[in-house]
Amino acid sequence: MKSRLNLFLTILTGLVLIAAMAGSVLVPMPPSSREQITLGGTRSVVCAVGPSGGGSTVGTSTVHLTDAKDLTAHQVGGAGHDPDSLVTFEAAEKPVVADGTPMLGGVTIYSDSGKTAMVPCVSPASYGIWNGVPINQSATLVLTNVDPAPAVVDVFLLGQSGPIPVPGLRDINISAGSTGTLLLDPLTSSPTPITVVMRVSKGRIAGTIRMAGDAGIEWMAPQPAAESILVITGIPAVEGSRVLTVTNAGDEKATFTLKALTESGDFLPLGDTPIDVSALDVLEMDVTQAIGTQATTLVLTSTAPISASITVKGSDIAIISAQGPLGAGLTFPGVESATLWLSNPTDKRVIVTVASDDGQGNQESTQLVLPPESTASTPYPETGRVVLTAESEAAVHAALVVTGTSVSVIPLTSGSLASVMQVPDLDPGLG
Amino acid sequence: MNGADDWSWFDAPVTSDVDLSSHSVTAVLVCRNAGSWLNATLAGIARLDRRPDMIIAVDNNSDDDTRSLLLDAEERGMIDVVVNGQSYWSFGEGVRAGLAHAPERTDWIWLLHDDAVPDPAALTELLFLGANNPTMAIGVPLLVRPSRRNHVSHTLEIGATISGSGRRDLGLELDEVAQGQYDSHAVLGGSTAGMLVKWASFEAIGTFDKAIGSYRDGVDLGWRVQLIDEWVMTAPKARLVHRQVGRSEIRTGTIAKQHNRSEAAWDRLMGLRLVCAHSHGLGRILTWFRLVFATLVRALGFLLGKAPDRAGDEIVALGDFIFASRRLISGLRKKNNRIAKGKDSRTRVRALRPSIGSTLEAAGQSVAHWLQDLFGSGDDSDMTLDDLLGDEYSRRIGEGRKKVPVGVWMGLVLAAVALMARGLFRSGQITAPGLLGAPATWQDALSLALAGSSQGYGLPSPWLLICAVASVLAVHPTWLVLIAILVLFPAAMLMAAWFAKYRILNTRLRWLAAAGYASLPIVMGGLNHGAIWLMVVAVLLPFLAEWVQRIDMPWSGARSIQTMAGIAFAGVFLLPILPAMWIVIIVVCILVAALRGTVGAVFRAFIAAGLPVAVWALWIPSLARNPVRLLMTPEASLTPASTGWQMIVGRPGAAESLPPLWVSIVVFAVVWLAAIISASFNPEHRKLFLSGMAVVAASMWLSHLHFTLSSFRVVADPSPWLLIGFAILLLSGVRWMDDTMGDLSDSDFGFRQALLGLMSFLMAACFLIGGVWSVWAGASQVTRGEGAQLPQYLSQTEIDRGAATLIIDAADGTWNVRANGSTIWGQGDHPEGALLSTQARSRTELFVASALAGLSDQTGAEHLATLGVSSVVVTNPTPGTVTALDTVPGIQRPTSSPTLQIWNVLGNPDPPTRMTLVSGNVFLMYLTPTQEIPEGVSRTLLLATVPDDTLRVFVGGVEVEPVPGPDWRAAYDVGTASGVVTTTRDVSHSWMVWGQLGVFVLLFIFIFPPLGDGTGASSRPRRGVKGVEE
Repeated sequence: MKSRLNLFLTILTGLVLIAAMAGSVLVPMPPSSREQITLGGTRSVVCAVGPSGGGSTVGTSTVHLTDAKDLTAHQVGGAGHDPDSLVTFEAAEKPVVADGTPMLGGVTIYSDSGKTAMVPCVSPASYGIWNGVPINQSATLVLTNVDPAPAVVDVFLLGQSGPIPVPGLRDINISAGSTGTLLLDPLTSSPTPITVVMRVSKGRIAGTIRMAGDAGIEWMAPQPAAESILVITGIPAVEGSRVLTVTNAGDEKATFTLKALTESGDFLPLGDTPIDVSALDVLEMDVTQAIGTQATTLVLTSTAPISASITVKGSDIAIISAQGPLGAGLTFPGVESATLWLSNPTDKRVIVTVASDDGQGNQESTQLVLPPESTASTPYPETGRVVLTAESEAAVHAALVVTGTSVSVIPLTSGSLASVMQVPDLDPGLG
Repeated sequence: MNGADDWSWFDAPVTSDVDLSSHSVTAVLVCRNAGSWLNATLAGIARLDRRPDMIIAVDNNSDDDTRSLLLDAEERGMIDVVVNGQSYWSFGEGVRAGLAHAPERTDWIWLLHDDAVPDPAALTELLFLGANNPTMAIGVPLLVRPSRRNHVSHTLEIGATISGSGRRDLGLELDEVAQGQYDSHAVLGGSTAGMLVKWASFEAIGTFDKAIGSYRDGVDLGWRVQLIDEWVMTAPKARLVHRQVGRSEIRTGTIAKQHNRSEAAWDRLMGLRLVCAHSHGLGRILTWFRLVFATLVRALGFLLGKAPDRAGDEIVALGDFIFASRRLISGLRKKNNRIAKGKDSRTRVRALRPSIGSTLEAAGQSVAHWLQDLFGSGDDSDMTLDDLLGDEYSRRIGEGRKKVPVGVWMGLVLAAVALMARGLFRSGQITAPGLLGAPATWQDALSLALAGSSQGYGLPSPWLLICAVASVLAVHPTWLVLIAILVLFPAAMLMAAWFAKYRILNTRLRWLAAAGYASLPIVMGGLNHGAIWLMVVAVLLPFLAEWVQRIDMPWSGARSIQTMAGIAFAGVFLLPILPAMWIVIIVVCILVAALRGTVGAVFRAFIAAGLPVAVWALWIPSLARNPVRLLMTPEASLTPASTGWQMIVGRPGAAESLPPLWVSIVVFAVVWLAAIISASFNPEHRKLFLSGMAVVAASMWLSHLHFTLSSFRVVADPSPWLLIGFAILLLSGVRWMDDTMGDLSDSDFGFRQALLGLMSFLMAACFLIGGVWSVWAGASQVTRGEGAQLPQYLSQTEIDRGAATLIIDAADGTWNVRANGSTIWGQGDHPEGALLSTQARSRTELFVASALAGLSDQTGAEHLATLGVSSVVVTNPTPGTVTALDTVPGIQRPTSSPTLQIWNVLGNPDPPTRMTLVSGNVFLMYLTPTQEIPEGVSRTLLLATVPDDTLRVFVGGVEVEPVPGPDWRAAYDVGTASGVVTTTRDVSHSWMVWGQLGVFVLLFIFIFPPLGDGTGASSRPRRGVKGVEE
């Protein structure tokens, strides 16, 4: 009897312990309460302006800037604008420097002979890549140094046959508060578009490439860094060819696959066959047939960091390069004839809120729900200020597509991926 | 021819052509309080095949019935004369008195002790030897220990000599068995029990001397015989069974007791006198000092061996030697000088005495025997009578049948260790995921350990102090102790697991369990993670378990302290490693003592539990302030997140440290299986099984707990608890197998035998798999030098320029500020340097968070300069982080790769270092460690650390005073001083380290059992042929 009781108790205790073990696995670990840190800080942007006076092309540059709070802005070497949350510089002749919150956004609208080019204001950086730069379109690399100290820049050119050796592109000095330009056409006779790489060895530079040729006028903001996953948002639904340019500026071969996101679904334009890009090489592919003329977002997934752009050439030329995500949020000026395109390349659902304020007390707000791996569009206000916020802070890619007599695609990237973060942990084992 | 005739040669008397009848013998039997054993001696004398011509018994005024027994024997004709002696007479004086009553002088004198029973042929054999060797003056018989019928006889003595330190040298092995292996040979002397002495020589040498009253008197006689060019020979065939009642303190009223001395002390005194008396010339002084020194060393050795009584004997003997022996020694020396025939005799004596190295050899053998006692099986139960009688018999106690030589096993273990630690055969800092770099010197290590007190973290981090003290033993470099632990770990584990010898009887099974237990912490990824403390826990656990089991043993004296000291010794390590574990062990220990033992046992348990707390008493306030530390292991911030269900198969931590899943499943599943079978078949093992299971379950729940410790977010490490749980399960399974082997040895083959065989095979196979992985990859994550996460030049910059590196892992969202080339010990428990400043840390967190959020921190570079950061490294960079840092003014990115991005913090003109020289608000320069401050006025030195009262700063050898600084940094007024900047740290409580070390050493000494009783017998249970003696 005693032995049976002993056995029973043993089994019972064993079952309890098994349940305890199972419970420890099945019961989720409590979320650790971590302190949050509010990210303040500022963002500086530089808005490029077109040439005015002299040169073959003379147009008008209008700079629009907006922020969540009052921002400060001034033209380089010029007087400043009164702080305001919405600032405009009409007929700016010098680059405009603005300081504000991480939500600060701005755009330069350059008009010349009925053609329009738009380029977002960008933050000074120490690195930049421009893909698919056509040589016979009077392409000019504009380097602006807004810091109080001189900057030193190295420029590299890459073509389909590899690096293009050009003397004089190293240690280019840009004085404090000044702009330097580099005409690219005379540097090479490459029949195919090239890739321009800017590496700043000292200081910071806000770089832009502007083109004015028979294909049209186009301004290009740099892709900040080579990445393994690229999203090119805002390929417009216009007639014309679509040429994909992929640059591998690294020293190992990259293999990528291509996926297209449209409003009607996603597909693989080139099938599931991966494509190789050799080290220090530029690959150009006509994907017109593959993606058609519908509005598209392209997602490139690579084994090594690459940079990429799509050149849409129809009645105008538009070169859309891969850009970073929208981030925590962005304020951006209203743009005429613009459509906001949003892409969610992730496997999570994202909600984006578009709130507009026309400056006269009229406010509107729209929410867009983006399923996983999808793209969507919505009309964009023409005036005032627009605030874009995303629920999932790092997922959404956004661009403004302006079509009409000219085609411009303005990538929208925030100065911050988040406004509040958990305090990062100190890990003594690191390093 | 019948069977009896086959053995008739064995029983046949020894015959020879020598006529022994012409050799007359007077036997002198000296007795003192021998009532309990005299009858056996008298019976032995009566059975002699060659009766002495005269048997004279001397009774030294015994207090018991010795005299009446002798008178009775005289009446019955067993002895011829009974002489009355005095109680204070020595053996020699008794012999002299007895010989005075001999009617005539015979050829020989046979000296007999009342506790030595002669074999029937003893005298015959002695006479035979003497007759065949005319120069023999003394014949020394073989003395054996009493034994049971049909049991082997152990040799006590067959001749004796004396070393230069006065040590008695018998020339025997421990527990040597007398089985006819001895040949007659010359010796210096021997015991007077059964000694045959030529009467003429006896008188020529001056008979016994009162300086050597007992114990060494036989050696003294023999020594003087050598001096007159005669010999002392051993007669192995002349056998006496000697009880040694004097040496074993059974006899009452001995000379030693009359002088209030122990027999051991008296023996020692006799030895000292003997050696001293036989020294001459200038050698007398040297010999005297040598004897004093040797005695003191012996006393210290006995003290360390927890035999204080024997140490006391040495000191008492020394005292008597110095203060009460001069005249006696002088008298004996004169006698020796008088009879000595010349240098040749002294040369011969020298050859008969052990060399100066023999003392060391004897000490080594003592240690070896003592270790053999600890770890040997001492099992000769396989031995049969045929083995003893056969020619091939050459085995000693403890040797079994044919087996793989120990050297082969040791070679295999060494090869395995070398293979496992192959990554360490290069230069550089040793690190692992859970192991930070060692400080450069042991002084730095100690300073680091003791400096914690000044930073508000309570008294020294005990584990850090243990590591620092261990580094002192290694002298330099400090990481050598890690190498030692890694290399010695397998051997230590096997030795630790061998302690299970009292719980697991089957030798093979014991080794299997030991190997399995040794592999557990390695297969759990502990070694790979660099959790050195887990290795220490694993080594200590078996010892601790055994000591806790023995807490109720009714031992006395030094032995009773052993278990207490052992538990406390383990606690000195375990308490700092995991205080909660020590609390559990205390509770278990007290429970065991209370349930099984007496009040004394409970008291001992309390003492044992409390001693480590006393050792680390100054740490307790810190523990009270941070109770989270109770559940934390050392370097808690390096504990990886738990693996959930995988802990069931012994996988507590980070994937890179763990073996492939299938290896873990194979190893730990067999442990589970064995434990389950054990619980199913044996009710006694169910508690063990459930205990192990409960510990595993508890450790799984423990891993859910998150805490904040010293501003680190930490998790409780389940690995030590898992180790305990699986060790218990393993023990349960192995105990079942051991018990089953014993139960089924006489049964027919059945299900249980089959199950046992299957489990044995499975266990061996699975542990082999675990062992192979352990050797191949068990320490693969412990790297040295190269293979570091970051480029080596960054470490060099930190060392050469005194800079720091900010490291950000964009994938995990973690960061670190590293200086001095590597993160070092202790920084996993609490931050150091600049990170002690809340302001500096918060600002750095903001910079890092901004970078991770893709936000450019416009003033970040200025803050990094105050930290002395000259490089920012981002591992697993994201585009947003790269962009953000690219846009930070004041930092520049010269290199990039997919997995690593590095930015340099720009200086003016030099990059920042951790020492900044300013003049008011004007920046002057950054200083490297070797750079001199130029001459000037009104300068302030800013250090990238918080103000610290214990930090002393010198400029050109002149100490500078601290002043209020412009920010969180420590500031010092340089004034007009110039030169290189050096710093020192005042450490507090350094005295405490000595105290702790002293207690630790004492505990270490007391955990070993005391030395033997000096009789030469093993302390292990004596086993005879097919039997055990008690």
